[in-house]
Amino acid sequence: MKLSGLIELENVSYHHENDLGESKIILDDISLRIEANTIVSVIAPKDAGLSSLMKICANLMEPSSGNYKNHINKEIIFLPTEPSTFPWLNVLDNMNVMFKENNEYLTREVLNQVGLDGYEDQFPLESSYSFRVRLALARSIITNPKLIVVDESFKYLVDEDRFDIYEKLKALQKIHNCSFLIGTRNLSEALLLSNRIILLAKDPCSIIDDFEVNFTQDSCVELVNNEDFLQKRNRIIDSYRYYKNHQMYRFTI
Amino acid sequence: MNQEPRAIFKYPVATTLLTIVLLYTVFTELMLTGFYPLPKPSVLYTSFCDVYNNYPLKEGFLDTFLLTTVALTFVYLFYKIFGLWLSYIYIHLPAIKHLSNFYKYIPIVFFAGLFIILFDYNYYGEFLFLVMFLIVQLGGVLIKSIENMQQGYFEAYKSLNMDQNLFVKKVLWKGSLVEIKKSLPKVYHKLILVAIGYEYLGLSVGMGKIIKLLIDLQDYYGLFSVMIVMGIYMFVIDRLLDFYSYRTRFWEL
Repeated sequence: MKLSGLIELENVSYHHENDLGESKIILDDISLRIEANTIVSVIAPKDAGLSSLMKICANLMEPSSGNYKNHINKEIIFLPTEPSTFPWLNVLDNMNVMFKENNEYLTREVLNQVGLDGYEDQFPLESSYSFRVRLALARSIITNPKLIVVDESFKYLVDEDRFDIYEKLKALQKIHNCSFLIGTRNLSEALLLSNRIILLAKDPCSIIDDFEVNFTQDSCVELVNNEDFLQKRNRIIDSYRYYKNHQMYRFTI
Repeated sequence: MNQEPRAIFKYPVATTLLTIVLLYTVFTELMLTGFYPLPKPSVLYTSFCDVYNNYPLKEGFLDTFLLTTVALTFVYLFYKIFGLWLSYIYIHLPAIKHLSNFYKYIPIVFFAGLFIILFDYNYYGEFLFLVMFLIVQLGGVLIKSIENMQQGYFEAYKSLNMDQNLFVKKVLWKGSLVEIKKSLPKVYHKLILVAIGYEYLGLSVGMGKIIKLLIDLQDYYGLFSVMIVMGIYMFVIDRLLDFYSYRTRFWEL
């Protein structure tokens, strides 16, 4: 029996109307399907409507037209760009904010998986940005979701933390058997994390390429020096060069 | 090389104020003899002594101080105890916010007049008037803070499938309490002005009554010296409330 995808988008479009009543097409005819136990990255240029797409995928926004099919009901978690941790709650309470009572055992286990064990009593603002991103990631995992939609959540991290979080995220995906849908403008991030990469164009946002990535290495440092990695990165750059009269969008490489 | 900022740049407001006072003293006492655009410090001191000896300044100050601080403490505790329930009510009945707008449409002086007539110039009337004023002011802060709560928190609420009551209890109310604490110095400034205005109109008790007497007797130097003392008092209260508000936001320390 073929397993159905976790979520499916069929010819989804999204229009935004400004105060003057002018309508702008943000997303145009997007179809995609996210399977179980995968990490899918969506690369898009700046202001291309990536956040809108991520929110539609996370069931936080309704598309203007097309079908959004959700086969996992409420088991989707959205991780916004800014880690929305609550400053007045400590790590333990932040992790259990959606539960009536704190589950200390499970909390410690998940905190350990993101590298925050021993910080249960700390407050988010006492800590670094990377700490808050890890906390938001751990809080998403603790609910045991089937899909986590990440909307450029790692873009303000420094490289040192970035590689560590990528490796932790890949480990989390294997431990918890969940899927990740990662929206990003960072080509290396997409290549280092994903099994599949989808490229989006701008004005309007539509899919221009969709390909599989299967690197065997788990270490990010090893991966970035891999020949295959560099080839895949060039493929993304070439795809964007080819699109729209060889204009290259600005990306973080 | 990083250097500690010098004290003069560390406390710009205090430094500027001290400089103005120093220049004012030097100019009026030593240089501009015979020409007084503003009263000299020595004249102000004499005037203040006159006011202190000839008017019920101590009683007036004590009346205003007690009425305002007791009213503020009472209403603040009311919000600390019942704020969570008020937040629930607001979430389920958002139209209640129009109640906090009625000062915009009906001038506060109308309510002051009403209370003066109803309570025949006594402490209870002023206390009830100040309590009503504070309930509306802090209610406005509560509603505004709920409305302006970070979008990310609402996304987290939807995404984490939080129970609405749990979200109000752990996030909205706690976040709003922070804003209420932050607003206390500003609200107290307004409260003092409203209290003095009420006392001035009611000719009953407090600093408003003394100010009215000073104006009627055209003792402008006395009035000026009382204003300076009131300014110092408000500054001290402002610092104390600010300190309290800051200390209770322990996660920012």
